[in-house]
Amino acid sequence: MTDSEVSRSTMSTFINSQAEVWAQLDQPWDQARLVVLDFETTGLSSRDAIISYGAVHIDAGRVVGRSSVYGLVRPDVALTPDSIRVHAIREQDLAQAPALPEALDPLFASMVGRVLVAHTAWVETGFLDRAMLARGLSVDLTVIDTAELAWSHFGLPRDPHRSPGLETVASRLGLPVFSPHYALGDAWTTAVILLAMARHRAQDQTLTLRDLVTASHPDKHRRFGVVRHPRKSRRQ
Amino acid sequence: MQEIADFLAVHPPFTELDRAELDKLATVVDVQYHLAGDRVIESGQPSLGAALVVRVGRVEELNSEGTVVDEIEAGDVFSLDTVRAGLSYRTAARAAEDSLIYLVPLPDKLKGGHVAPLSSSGQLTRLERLFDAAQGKVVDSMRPIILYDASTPITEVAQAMSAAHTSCSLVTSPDNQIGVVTDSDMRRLVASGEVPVTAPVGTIATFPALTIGSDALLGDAYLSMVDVGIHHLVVVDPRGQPIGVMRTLDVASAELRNPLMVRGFIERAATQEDLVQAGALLMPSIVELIDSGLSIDYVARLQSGVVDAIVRRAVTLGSTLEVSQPNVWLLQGSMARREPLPSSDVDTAVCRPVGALGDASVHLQDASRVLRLIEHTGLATCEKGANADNPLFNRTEDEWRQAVARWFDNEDVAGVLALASIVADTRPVTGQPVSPLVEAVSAAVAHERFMRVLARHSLTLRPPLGFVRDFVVHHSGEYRGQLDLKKGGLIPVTTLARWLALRTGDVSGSSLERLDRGVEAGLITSDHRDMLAGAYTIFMTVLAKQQARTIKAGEKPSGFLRPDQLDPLQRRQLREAFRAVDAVQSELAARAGMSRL
Repeated sequence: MTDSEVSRSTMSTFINSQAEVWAQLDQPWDQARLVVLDFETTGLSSRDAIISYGAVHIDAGRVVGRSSVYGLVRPDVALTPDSIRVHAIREQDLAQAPALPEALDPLFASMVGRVLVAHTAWVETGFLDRAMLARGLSVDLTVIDTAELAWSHFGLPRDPHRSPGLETVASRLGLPVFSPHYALGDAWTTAVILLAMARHRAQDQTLTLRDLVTASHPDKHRRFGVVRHPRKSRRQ
Repeated sequence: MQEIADFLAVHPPFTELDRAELDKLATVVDVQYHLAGDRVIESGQPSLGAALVVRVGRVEELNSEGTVVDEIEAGDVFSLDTVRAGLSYRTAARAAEDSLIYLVPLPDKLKGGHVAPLSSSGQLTRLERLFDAAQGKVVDSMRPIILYDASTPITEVAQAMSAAHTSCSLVTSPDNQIGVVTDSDMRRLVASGEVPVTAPVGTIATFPALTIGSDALLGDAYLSMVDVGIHHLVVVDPRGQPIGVMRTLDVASAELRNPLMVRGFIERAATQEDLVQAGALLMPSIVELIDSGLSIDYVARLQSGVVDAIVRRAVTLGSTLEVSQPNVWLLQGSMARREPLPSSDVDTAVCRPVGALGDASVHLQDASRVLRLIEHTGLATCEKGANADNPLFNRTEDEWRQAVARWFDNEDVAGVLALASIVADTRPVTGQPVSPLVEAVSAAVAHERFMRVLARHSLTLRPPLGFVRDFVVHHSGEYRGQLDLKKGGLIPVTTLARWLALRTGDVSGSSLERLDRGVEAGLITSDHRDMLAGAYTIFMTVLAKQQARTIKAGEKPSGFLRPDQLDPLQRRQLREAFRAVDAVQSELAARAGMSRL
């Protein structure tokens, strides 16, 4: 198989594993298999591209360090000074990195059979959708959004025009922030935030994945489908 | 993950790792989050295979009673020894606050026990060491119970406890509660007259008794006792029925048996029962020290120090004499020389000061009470009667002076030897040195006949020649199945050393120190000293190791050895040691113009 065929095969395996994901929805959250992911990008518009990804698994309510994956992606657009200021990744850092779609193979492999978790998840799902569509593939991604969970966790009225920042949420929960603006670090921070908020939500009731997915999508029609998001700033 | 590596870098034991090792370790750390009140670890749960490091929050360590025994704060590690040993957790852990916990697999470098203290409080390491030696189950160490109805007269229960050699009895109340009554309750309330002996035992029992499940671990049982400050725990079956009793000393771990700690317990013993329990920790600690390969003269010094403390405390707690000037208690024999073996008994004497009130019988009875207490701690008093409750060894200062003068003139060899022992191997454990005995040391060398008899005797105590198969060969041509190593090895050396001590006018210290002084005084050569000291150390070491084995087998240690139990190296060492002693004796005898036949 060519690299391209391998890549398509990895993506197909991921897509085919969605049945496994749906089958887990009614399980208690701390018995399920999750994958927490984060992208660093050149920006947030439809012309922007992924430049790095990080992901880590949560199994049985525990962040599994060994499952961490991280990779750089050579974008097909130029980096902007603003984005370099955020994540400190330069053109020369990416010169030797693989390009899409193969570059995401390890990430798709890591996501097989797992419910996705991300902070301000429309960014991650949007880029994933585009990566799949480039292969002519598509799937309704099931995703838990820790930014959405944070509104209700802190008892704040949801503001549809902005998201609670990752570091802000971690700090308010008294949790460490892992290497900010480094994709794997943000994935870890997101994972730890999810553990804390899910434990609190599960204090008096059985908390299923469906409960978390539902709470992540206050706008019902987006719950279990591809996220069609508005254009807006990602982080505070 | 850099955050994890940075955090571990400043918290022991991970401070032992370099940056590359920390970075590698950080990639395999898992993370859990627990709400306040959640169980993090259940007691008995198999090891997670990783050290639990509190990253945020606080975790409490719980014993089987649910009592908090330690707090693990951010940066502290929970149950490191469990991970190192791959054992099940012996205590439970509960989040005291919402807590983020890192599960850190230990790299091989940290799996040894050589790391810095783990807990900022220091308590964690102490508890972990404690548990290491107390992993056994309560059910395997408990003692049988005696059980009485609360209405039973105290006298009847006291008799039953005495007959059963137990320090407590269980008591059932009319509403079926289980209580406990101990020796200490009896003494405190009954012996003091506060409660009549005919009263129902229920009036002095404690209800309800603290209980522990038979499946509980010894470490948990001990912690329960320490927490509540009690010495007895009632062991119950799953239905709550009492099936046994645990005493503190049954669960005491190696740490507790450390001689220094034992000594501390002895010195702090407030009651006779405390002293008995503390004293019972001595022999296990000595056995462990012998097994650890520590030099035998060092172990003997430790044993001697603890025995001193026991005798001193026994005099304080056991004597009821009301006197302005207390009696002087003396240790004799190997305890006085600070070179006891595990089998050594405690030989004692008393000197009553000038003007001591009360007739001899009062003092003898009082000494007897002290000696019985000493015996209860597990130490043996002298079988041959060298005890402070024997009128020959319990005298006023004047009587000692008269006795010493009489003995110097004694024609009888046995009398000479007895005097030499009393004068040379005596050390006060309470009060000041006894003048008549101190004066006798200085006077001895002038008593030519006394010294000559002593010298001759010390050169005629001949060690065996060696071994033939499983028999010991003696000079007399006799073959014996057992080797009396005390008589055939130790006594020839200690007797010679005692003669040297009296010749030099300084009887302090051990036999080895006396040999050194004999060299300094030109009485023996340094070759003689080396040969005798080497032989003596071999005798002591072989005997001590043998006695440690005997004690561990639950038997009474003695000075006898069976040749078939010696390994080839020990046989060779002993044979050479016997020959060394014999050679020195022959040379000294030849020098003195003595015949050794």
